Amino acid sequence: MNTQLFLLLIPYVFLFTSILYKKRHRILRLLMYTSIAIIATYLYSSRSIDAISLVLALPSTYVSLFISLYTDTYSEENRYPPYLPVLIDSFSLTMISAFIAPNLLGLVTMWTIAELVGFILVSIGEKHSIEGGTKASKIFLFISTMKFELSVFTLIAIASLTVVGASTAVAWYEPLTIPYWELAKLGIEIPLFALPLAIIGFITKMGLVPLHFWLPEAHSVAPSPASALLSGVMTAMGVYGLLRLVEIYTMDHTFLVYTLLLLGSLSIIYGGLQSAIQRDGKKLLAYSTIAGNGFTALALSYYVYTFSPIGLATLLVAVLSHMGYKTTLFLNTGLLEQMTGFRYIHRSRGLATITPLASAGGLLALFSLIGIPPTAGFTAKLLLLIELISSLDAVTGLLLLASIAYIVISVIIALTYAKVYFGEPSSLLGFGNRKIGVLQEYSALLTGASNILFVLVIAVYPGLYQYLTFYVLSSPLVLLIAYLFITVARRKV
Amino acid sequence: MEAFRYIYYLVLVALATIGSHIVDKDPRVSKVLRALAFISPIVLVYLTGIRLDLISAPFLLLAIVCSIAISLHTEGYLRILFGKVSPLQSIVDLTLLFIILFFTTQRVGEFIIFWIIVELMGSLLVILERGIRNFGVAIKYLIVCVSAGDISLFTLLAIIAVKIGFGNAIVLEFSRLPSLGIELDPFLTFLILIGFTAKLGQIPLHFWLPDTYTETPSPGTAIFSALMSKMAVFAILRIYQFFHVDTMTYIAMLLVQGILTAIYGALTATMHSDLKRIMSYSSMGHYGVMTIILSLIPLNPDLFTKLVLLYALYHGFVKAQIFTNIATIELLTNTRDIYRIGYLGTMVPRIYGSSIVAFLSLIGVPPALGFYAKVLLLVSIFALLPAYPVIALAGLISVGLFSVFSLVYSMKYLSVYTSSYKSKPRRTPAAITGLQVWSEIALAASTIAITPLAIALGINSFIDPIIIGFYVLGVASLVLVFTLKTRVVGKEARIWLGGVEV
Repeated sequence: MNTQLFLLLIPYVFLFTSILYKKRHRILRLLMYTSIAIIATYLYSSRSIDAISLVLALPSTYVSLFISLYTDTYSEENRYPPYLPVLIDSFSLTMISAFIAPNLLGLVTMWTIAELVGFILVSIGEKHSIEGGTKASKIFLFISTMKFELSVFTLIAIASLTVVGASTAVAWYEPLTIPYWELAKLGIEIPLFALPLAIIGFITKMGLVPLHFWLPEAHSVAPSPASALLSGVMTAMGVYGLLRLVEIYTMDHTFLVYTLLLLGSLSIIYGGLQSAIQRDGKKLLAYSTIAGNGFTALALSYYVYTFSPIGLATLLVAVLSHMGYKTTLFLNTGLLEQMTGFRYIHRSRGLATITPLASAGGLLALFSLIGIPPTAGFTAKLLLLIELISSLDAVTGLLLLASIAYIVISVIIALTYAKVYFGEPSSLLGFGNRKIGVLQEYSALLTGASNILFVLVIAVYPGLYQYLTFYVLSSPLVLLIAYLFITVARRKV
Repeated sequence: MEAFRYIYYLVLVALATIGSHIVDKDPRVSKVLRALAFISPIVLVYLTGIRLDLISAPFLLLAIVCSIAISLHTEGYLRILFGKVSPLQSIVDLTLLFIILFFTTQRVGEFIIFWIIVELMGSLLVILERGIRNFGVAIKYLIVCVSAGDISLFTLLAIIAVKIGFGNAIVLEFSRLPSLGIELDPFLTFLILIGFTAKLGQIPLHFWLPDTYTETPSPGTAIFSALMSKMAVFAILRIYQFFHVDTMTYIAMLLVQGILTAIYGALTATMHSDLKRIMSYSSMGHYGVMTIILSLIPLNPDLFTKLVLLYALYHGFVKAQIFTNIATIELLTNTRDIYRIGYLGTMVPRIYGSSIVAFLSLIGVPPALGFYAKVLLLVSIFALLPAYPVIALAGLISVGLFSVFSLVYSMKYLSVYTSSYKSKPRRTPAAITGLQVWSEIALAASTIAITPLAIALGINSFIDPIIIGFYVLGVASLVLVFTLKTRVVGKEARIWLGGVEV
């Protein structure tokens, strides 16, 4: 086992130091997230982890930092228990560590801790929240976490049995500690009958229909920063798990391609239709998570179908775009919730007048959801569509149809949500009479900036660097447009 | 060279932004800055590395002239409505600038960026004046028109990407596209065209158009109708120029859509009483005619390409003028119901002259460009009759029907200035600013002045001399009538109401 990995303990030292202090220090958290980003980069440069880990870890660190800064005022104003910010920090830190972990042991350990912290967060929200289900945390634990454990232990069992069966000289825990790329060389095969068992946990984690029902419950009752992490980062872990599964094990790929195609299309239609009729802002976003992950499932299905490098870039950009816009929008809804005490969006108007900076971030997220160049959402849709059109056959044709459905549905979802920013501030907004911190506004804005920043990961892939010309030309324009939208939205009619 | 051009674009955006932000403090400097931003792409054309050809030059000319007029008109319009102009003016000006820049793009990536940015600015124009109350319309526009357009743009990029790879496709110059020799099958031809015909409001993706055009504030509608629709025409022309489309699909699809839309648009236009709705449906009908001409391009590429350019110029100038005029009428009368407006010619004589020119241009009377465009169109389709009897006959019938109905709704439009109203006026009309009057006069003058330039396209050597004769006669008679009206015929002391002295 690689000793460099013990460097990952440093951020946890910062975490425990911040727990010991009575008053929470921003500097400590800044150090915590900066150190984990630097360590991830260092591990990548010394080839201890691979590009996929780095590409997912750095953006999640970026959004987690701002979510963490956002949480203080949120927790105080909403009268959450004082340990909520620490829980949020541990939640994000364990998830980032799960992304960085280069072997099955690290992944499973970190992921399981993250699941438990997630369960605590959901149950805190469940006790605190006025709206939402009363069984959300139990469903989360029994459906999402249990299915994950089921899958991951199936995978471990298969790996161990195969390795031990091949040679008696190897201990059963050996496959757990060697890096993924070494493990892939062993050629461990998943038999077809075990394949549904192996993928069900990750599919549940992504919230794909028909294993989606825990998601709107859990995401809508959790405190908003936790919802942001659950939706933006944790569902991305589902995709990450499937990606590792495909990478390490040999199996019948056709099964996976068709399953993802079918479930992805169903999720897009179901999630899209449900989210268009919600009046609870967080439920809307939760259902749109289902639709968004449906689209990611399509990208994954395409990648598994062809294994093209651009397919992988597309998949990663799709995951990151979802991470970017969903965290931003949950933080925005959190602000609404903080001001009013509830989060019904069907009558809430004029958010842009009250919090212009956060609304600018939210608009960037909506641009990404709609697909405006050069946001991450646009890049993902563009790359996938281009890949699909350039290799048309029966499977990619179906994927193309589902992607077009998603493009239309995402526009509908975005526009349903966008109403919150426009118009006169409604009288509801004075109801809670609570304040919004300046740091919260800036956090929401900078999280919104992630929708543009995350596109840069595709520069890693050869053959796509010309896209940067496009990126440089259009990013000032999209910022200008966001500014103009805010101008129009803030105008008194 | 490319970096230089992008810096130049940024300078233009900065000029327009600064110009529209200081419009309240220093209107004169603002006007100079904005005009500079709009005109310079054509003045500095070779300095900045912008290359023009037969297809982009007319569109650029149209965009620049209309932009200046619409921008100035909007300034007056907003000043009367809101007093403070700058926040909204910046949106209108930047939209206009992006449209101009769209016509100067040279690479596939730029083309896509500017197209989508202009579409977004369009949705801003929809909610410009009424805010959240127009949100439903903006949603319809974005979902039907913009998503369809995006699908076509992505298809365009994908088709090139298959040939040379994604990264290269984005920075590919248009001028190098024909050398790739890309063939499109029927399905791809359909996909690549559907977004652009949706932008032109062609059946079956037409239903966003009347709502969007009617609910958008009138200066915005002028931009939609005069300029944004021309972007779609430009795109289809480029696609035909650079790809080997499946000719059968191309002709069949565009012809059917065009014929249906031309007849539907013209018929519906005659049945409405809302001034703006009439003109929106009329725009739709005109787009139908343009689609018919586009569909005929494979039969005689040179002739019909020039013809569609001519028709686009004609429609652009006329609709820019008519919608700015409607903006003025809205301010004057506070209603758009034509049965409640009348005698505007007597009440506001300053805009009467330019409206008459717009009317003449709409129905196609010399010396306006409409006459030349319609005559040439009918003659050119007629010439196809021996070789392609079915297509030519269908085209002739629909264009003929369209022309007849355009006469009907144009008369309705003019009745706003001439006939009497049924109700009593509630208030005296607001005084319109000189900016509005002069920009309308400028647009009216350009519909007449553009005709010699259009003749220089050299479309039909037989008809051109006759047209020149008509043009000279028309200009002479127009001058004569205006002189007679202003100098010789005295002003009526009282309003004349159908034979009874008031």
